[in-house]
Amino acid sequence: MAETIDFFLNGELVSVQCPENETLLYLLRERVGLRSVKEGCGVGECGACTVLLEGRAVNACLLAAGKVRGRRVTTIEGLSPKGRLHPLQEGFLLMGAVQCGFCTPGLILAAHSLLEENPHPSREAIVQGLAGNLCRCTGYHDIIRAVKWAAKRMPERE
Amino acid sequence: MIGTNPIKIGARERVLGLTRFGVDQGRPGDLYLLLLRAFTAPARIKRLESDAAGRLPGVVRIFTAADIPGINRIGIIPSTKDQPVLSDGLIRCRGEAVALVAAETQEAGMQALGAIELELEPLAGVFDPKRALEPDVPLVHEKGNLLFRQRVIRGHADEALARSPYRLRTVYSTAPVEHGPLEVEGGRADWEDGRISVTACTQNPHYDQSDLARLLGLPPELIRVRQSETGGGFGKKLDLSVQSYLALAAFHLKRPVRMVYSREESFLGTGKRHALLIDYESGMDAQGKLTAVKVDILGDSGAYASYGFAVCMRAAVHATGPYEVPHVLVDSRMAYTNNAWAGAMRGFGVPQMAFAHEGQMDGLADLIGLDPLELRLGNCLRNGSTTATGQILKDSVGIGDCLRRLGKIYRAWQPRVRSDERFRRGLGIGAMYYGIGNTGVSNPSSAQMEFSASGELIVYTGAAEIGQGSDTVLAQMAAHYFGMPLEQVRLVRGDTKRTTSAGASSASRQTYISGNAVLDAARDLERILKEGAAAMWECRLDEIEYKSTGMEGPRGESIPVTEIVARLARQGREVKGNGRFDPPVTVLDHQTGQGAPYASYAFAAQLASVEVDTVSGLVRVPRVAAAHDVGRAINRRAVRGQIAGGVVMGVGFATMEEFIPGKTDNFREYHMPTMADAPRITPLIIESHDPSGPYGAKGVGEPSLIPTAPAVANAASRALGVRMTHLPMSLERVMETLSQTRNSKPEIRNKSGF
Amino acid sequence: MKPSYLAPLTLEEALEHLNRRGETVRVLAGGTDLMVEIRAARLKGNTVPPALLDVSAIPELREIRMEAGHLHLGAAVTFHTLEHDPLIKKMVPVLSAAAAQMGSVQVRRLATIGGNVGTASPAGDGITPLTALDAEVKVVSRDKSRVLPLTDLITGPGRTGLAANELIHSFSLAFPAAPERCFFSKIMRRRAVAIARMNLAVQIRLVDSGMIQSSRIAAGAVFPTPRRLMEVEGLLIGQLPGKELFQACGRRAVEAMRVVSGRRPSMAYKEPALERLVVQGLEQTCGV
Repeated sequence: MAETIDFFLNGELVSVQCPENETLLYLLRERVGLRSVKEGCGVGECGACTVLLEGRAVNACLLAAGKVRGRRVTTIEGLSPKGRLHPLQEGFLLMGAVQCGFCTPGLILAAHSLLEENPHPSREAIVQGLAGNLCRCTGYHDIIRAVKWAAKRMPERE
Repeated sequence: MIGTNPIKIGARERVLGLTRFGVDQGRPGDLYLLLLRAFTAPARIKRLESDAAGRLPGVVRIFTAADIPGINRIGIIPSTKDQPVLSDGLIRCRGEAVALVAAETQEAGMQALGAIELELEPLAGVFDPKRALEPDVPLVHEKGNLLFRQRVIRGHADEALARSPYRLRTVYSTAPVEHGPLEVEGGRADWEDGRISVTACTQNPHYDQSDLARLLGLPPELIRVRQSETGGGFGKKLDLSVQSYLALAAFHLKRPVRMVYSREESFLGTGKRHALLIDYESGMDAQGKLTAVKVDILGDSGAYASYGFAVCMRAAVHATGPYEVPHVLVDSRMAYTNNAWAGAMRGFGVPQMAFAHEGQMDGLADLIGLDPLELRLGNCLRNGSTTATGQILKDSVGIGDCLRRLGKIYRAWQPRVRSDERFRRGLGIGAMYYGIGNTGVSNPSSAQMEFSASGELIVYTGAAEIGQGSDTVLAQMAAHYFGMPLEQVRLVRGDTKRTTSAGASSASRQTYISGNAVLDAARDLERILKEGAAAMWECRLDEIEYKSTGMEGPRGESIPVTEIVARLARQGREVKGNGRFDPPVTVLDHQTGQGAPYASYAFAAQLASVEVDTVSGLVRVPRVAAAHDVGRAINRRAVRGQIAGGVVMGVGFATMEEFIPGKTDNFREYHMPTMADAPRITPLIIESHDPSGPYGAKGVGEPSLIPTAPAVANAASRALGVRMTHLPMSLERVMETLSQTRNSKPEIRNKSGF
Repeated sequence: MKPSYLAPLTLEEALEHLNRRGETVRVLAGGTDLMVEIRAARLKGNTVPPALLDVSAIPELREIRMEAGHLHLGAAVTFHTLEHDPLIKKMVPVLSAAAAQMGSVQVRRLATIGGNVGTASPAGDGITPLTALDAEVKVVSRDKSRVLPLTDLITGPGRTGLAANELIHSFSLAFPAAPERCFFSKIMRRRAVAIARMNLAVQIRLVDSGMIQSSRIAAGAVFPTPRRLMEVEGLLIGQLPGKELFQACGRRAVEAMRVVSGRRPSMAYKEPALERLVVQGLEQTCGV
């Protein structure tokens, strides 16, 4: 049974028909058609489906769709509204943190959430904060460099 | 352009979330495809009843093996195509596909899966490869349980061993391993006017096309395979997966269909890294020179052949490691069992062999009392050396340089590696060599190149970009050849209709083989352009000079490339350069395994520091230094990226990864390294410049992974004082070792510390 | 057709639903276990997902407060909050330390302590420290509420004594009268984001003379249900911390595991691991 779920997706109020006991991942991919949100495992272990809920990283595959009613959800599209790259996106590009790129949107969003909470993370804080995002290509080496690069360039918040 | 670090082609789309992978191909209105799998194996299908399920609302059709119009046997190796796409009545291993459901919705499809009645009669099976080769055991296939056997015989190993003052014999074993790319298998197929078009993630679209044609009994021209953007492969996407089902359903239903494996299906439905059992005996003289090796290799192919043939052969060829060994006797066998089937995974058996030959090198160093690095330097291949297969390596043998580069770091780390009450620490070295391309067979690549009307350089290649960076590297070579900026190169890639075969993105072959094909196409295109100019200016070909601005003639004439292209086109000439490259190799002698199976070899050595927690048994790898002879780095950033990725995959192979069907079949139970498990990595690029490679390049995709597990295992062995002979070094195995050695003196010297 | 998803904003409403539809509705908090379970059932061909009663937005279940020497923790408090909340970090640091090692950051933001207890995994990262802290749990239904020790609520691996119309409401933890030292350690197959192969929570009070005055120790994935290692605690009371004492404690822990859990193949690993974990935990707690 598909109910209407109203929520804010990348800053815009949207109404989506979706069973509320489905996952947010299903809602975004199959009902909204947002294919940037990836399913890697479906059980909350790989982080490929990471989105921001009220600005904080969560696994869309673990979140019941009904839970987003009235709340703010951000996907990778929300980071570069006018096509201008976010410092994290730029850092991933410049540091070579993208290989196959399947984990990339989730990782960038998880890193965004991390930097919101801890604008100047140590290596250990990056590693612990992003341990929920698996990458099989890069060995994480360049991802860590990209996050450090971006941390230096994030717009200062008041 | 060569040796620079341009931003990877396709990376911008990826950070923006615009890239559409195989799993993203489905569109509204497509039918969903789902598979019924059997979980009892081996077994015979007693009853398969799908009529009632087929009548459920939303269910369009249910297919079984009887619906396959062509040959229900697939497999990459032409002589061992033995795998049914849908069960032929036998379930040879757990998870085998039995029926394919096409439904309007996923829900309807799942309901149908639940409603199909499948009755299985369990059969006696064989699950141990050793037992599988004994007489009077159940046969997995009628032809018998020995899939393949390859010997490598050089000199007289038994006699040489008997004469050797130092001998060491050890049995090593490894577990089946999952590739774990973040993207599972997924794609879409459509039907139009009797033609089937499949778009899916893959490592080899042209192979896909040929086996799909065979499966459907159609000429290959009626099947178009397009490689979607592919979210990692590592060998997992070399065999057919969803493509077969997509093509079969589109063929019958004449409608677009989509299919995505669940992660669990992805574990079950694809081949794993072969578990190998390696009985290794080495001999060494009083000066520390290797005299002989005698190696018995037994691989478990599981229920199907897949790449078993290739792994068996490559394991045999690489058994000595990157060392000069005058007397070699290798007997490599690959057996069928009813275990999960094994296939290609990054390294084709060489990672397992390297674990063994590097364990031996460390063991021999202890026997004679030499430093492990010195022992390797004293035995490693050099220009002019002869390999185990009798091939003389003329040039570009960079293993010595790799080891020497590591030496400095090795000495710097040594004083820092000290054990304490809780943590045992050690350093370890792993070295390897790796033949680029397929073993002892023709494995050509082809490419085309042309200038567009606006002056863009268009490169046509069948080479699958799966994240490793072949798009960027091939485009860089093309741009470099014509002196153009990379932005003006456009790729048409991985489409059986628009490109010709480049062979598989496997065996670390695309930079070397497809790179050479691209350069061949570039030379051809240059020739065509020069011919045009020479005809126009009535001069000889060698009087024309190509400059990035255009062609220049002997008397100061000049014409932009776009104009000469337009001129030639008006004359009805095709202005497209054709390129091809097939590495010059010889077929291995079947009896002795002698020959020149590869045209180029990559070399590498890595150094790992390891910390073993005596409380939990956890092996942590804080640091790895990785020296890789890649011939020439076309893209330094991409090379470093491959090295870092390979190292971390190697850490997983060494310490935690083991596929157990029914137990570790999702990322919850199957653990791969997270960011917290990744070592700090120091990549070191060695450039030996292979004259046969494009701009001197070789390959790095698999070599990056191969030395890691041996280095980690050797470091852990030093830390624990006992040779670790099984991978992964799980908590349980390490704890067992710790318990055994708690009160005894270590067998292995930990000189640096440690 | 009945709604398949209910998200009441008051406890009364939630309990009313639960009372009426207890058998056919599943309580959803963070969903990090339940959504995985639903997915697994669907993959097996069970296509009808259960109706969900989402209690995570009920303010009462998210409360954290001190009262009469006790810390009150609502069942829907997330692991992220347990990890970072200043009050919890100060008063029950062992729980914060455990929470910080549970799952990934993403999972910790969703997963709740009540959900962790309800799932009743023998390796539950929230359960072990709660057990060491002698947590009491308040369970409510429309018509009554009861308070019982956490160890009584969990009746077996993955099983609780919750009735179909009952909901885990909150936990109550007694503050120690004097400062205590604590320790939490988790053995995993890798360094982060993995199920505990074993975990250990230790809470010890030393008096000025250096003597151990009280100790509370619990281990996860050692017994079928959470349980304090009273056998070990008994050895410690009144003693001075020391290597030999702790080694005896390690051996005693293993004996307790053998008695309670019986002989299993996994014991080849678990026996030495538990022994060493106990020794290490006590050493680290007491600064030996």
